[in-house]
Amino acid sequence: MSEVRGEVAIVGVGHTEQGEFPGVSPETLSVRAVRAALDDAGIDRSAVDGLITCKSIQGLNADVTVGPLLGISPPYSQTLDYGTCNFSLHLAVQAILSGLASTIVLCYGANARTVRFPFGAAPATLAGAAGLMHIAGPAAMALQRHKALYGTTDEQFGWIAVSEREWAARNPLAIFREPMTMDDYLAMPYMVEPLRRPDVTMLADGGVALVVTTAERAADFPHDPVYVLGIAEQSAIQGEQRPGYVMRPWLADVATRIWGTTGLKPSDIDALYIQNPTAVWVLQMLEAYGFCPEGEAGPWLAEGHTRPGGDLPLNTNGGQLSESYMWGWLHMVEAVRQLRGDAGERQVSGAEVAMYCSTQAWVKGGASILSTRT
Amino acid sequence: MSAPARPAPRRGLYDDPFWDHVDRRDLRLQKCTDDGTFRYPPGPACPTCLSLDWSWEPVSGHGSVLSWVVFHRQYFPEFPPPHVVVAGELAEGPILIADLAGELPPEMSAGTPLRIRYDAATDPDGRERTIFRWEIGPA
Repeated sequence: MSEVRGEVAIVGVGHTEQGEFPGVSPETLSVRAVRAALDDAGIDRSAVDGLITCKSIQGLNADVTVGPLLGISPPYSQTLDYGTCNFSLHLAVQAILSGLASTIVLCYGANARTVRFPFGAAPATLAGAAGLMHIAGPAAMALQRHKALYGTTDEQFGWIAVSEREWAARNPLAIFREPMTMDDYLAMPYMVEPLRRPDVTMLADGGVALVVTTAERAADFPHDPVYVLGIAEQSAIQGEQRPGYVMRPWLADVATRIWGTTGLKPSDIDALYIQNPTAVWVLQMLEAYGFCPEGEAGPWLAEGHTRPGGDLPLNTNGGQLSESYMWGWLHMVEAVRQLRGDAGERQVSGAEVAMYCSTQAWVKGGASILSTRT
Repeated sequence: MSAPARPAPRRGLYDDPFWDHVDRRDLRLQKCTDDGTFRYPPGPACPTCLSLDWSWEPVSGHGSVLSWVVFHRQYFPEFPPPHVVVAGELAEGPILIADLAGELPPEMSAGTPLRIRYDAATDPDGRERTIFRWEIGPA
């Protein structure tokens, strides 16, 4: 069994409002989130001996620019290019288990909305030269192939966006809360066929932070600790010519590792979080992690498992489609809130085990399983 | 009427020979001298055997559909909607992404046969060049 299990706990979460905040830098949003996370953890910054920042999508928010604003020089500091919070949490677990640090703040901040960051820019590749821009382009390729291979329908796939909107209506932080029925969804025009606008995230400004510490110290914090039961990763840095192309079959390798290292199985998960700059990521990861058989995510979604009241609550914050972009960081915050029992009208009754699955687009996958118990 | 404008592709040490061949309507890929594997994108090492020896060899220009998308919004001035982009797998193995010449056939599916065609185009700096596109075609 994993040497990670129960050794590290999340004891603080914090975030800013989400939206468009002109005149506020990514680092400022990080600092606001860190302040909120420290308050939540009931500690002063002097108790922090590690800082791991995540570069914003714009490439800002390095530890050396956040450090001066926080007024700290902790023994351990690091900056990750990889987003989604999963990889940051994994690094924090490694740093804590190796003794490099004991109480680490993780943070992300971006003002990509205000600066109109060109998320949809064409890369300088063959794909870019053909107008296939990030990220909707290749995601639509993946969905079209899924449809071609397995017969997935627009309505089946649409349940990802519709279900997340239903959850978002219960989340005061969510940017998109107005109701969206399946009829509303299907009536919207294609953007990059077969994707519609609600299938793709919208960039926002904001910040998110976590406080992570040893299980030993975790009992001293005001909130019940949320323990890390296991972590797993799989890179795909070999590049775009891998077998499977945009289908990302290597995601199944992360699944094998996370189930193997924790001894858990999909039916043990009370609340599931899947990073989703596009709804296609959810489609792929539901299958890769074994929540439904390969090729059957469409009919499975249409059965309503992921909706409020369903047996596998998914992205109960509204996900990146309805809550906010934040490179997936708010999924981790929501998982913690659910496990603490602090999720208000979207609370999943009796949630004890949560899982967060994410990817760095085409080059890396990661998963974490969190729990109220060790 | 001048040839339609197209975004400039990435150029560089390994990409230049690829586009220089395309300009001559002669699609070639790097072929590993040691194990015979064709590769794309261009680079210094064979991903299969790590050999550093290669030559630029012609490929068939035939392939089959992996997937495709249709842009219904205009993101780039060069590509007015509806703009169809196809990921095609060359008979030699590598995946080439290019737009589709002609209408999207209703029976389009994974495995639909493709072939490469060439057209005149203009770079953003006004330079005339050749582009390649996929078209539906018998193998």
